[in-house]
Amino acid sequence: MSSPTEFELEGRRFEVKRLSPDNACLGLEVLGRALGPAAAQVLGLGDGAPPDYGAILQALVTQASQLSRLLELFAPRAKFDRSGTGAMIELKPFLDEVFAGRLDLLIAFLVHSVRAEYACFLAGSGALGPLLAQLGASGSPSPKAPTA
Amino acid sequence: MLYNIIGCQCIFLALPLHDAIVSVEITPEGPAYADDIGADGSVCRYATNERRATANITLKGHSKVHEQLSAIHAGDVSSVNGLGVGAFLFLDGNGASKVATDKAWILGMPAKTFAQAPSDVTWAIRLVMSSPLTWIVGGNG
Repeated sequence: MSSPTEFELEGRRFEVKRLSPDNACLGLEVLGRALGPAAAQVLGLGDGAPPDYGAILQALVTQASQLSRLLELFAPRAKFDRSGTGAMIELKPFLDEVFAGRLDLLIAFLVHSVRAEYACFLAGSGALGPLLAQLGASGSPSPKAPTA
Repeated sequence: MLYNIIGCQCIFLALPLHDAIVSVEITPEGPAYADDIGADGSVCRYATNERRATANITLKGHSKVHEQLSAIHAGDVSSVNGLGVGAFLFLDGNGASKVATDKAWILGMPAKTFAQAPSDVTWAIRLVMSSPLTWIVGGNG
């Protein structure tokens, strides 16, 4: 069991546990539907730079309803420091309190959660990395020798 | 003269407890004074220094507050002692009643009956009153 990911938003601590395999697959599908090419930004497939929130928001404008699908997946896996005392409590019952009128905060929460969930997906460090390297090498006009 | 439960605020740990509310009952744990009597009939009144009270918050079974209070209590019992303690306020917006303390916590999970109709659920919250001045039983008028 991997440890939960911790991050801070506006001074408030959040932690999100990994999704179940079923929900991780579902999340990836929703992410692709919601963001299209901008999904790469969220997944951190770029050059390590922080995500381009402008590109993400632009993609979300037409698929904003998918945000709630993602929230349904991640909220039951999340805790947050509601009182600021360090006592971590379930986020799900407090979604309105935390995110109502704060779409920006909601997107930031999802970006952190998604990046943590799929950190090793396609990023080269996971089990898929060597396979993708081979695929990339075979499809290239000047292929490099695949590394083991 | 006006009294309306909708005009009352009941807030625990910054969480408004008004969704599907039935009643709020605040009861002192014991008397402020007790007394003792000698065989000769002499009576001594002494202060108990009792500062505790219990707020029984009854909500309809379908209230969304139950899930929130459950999460708060779960966080309290699974963290270091004291982190689940916070402020409680009851205020009658149309009257003079007020109960306020910065030391309150959920005593435990409530009983819940699952039957044909969702039953009411009562949450017991311990209040430690720092001053008698923050507890006023007021009227409406």
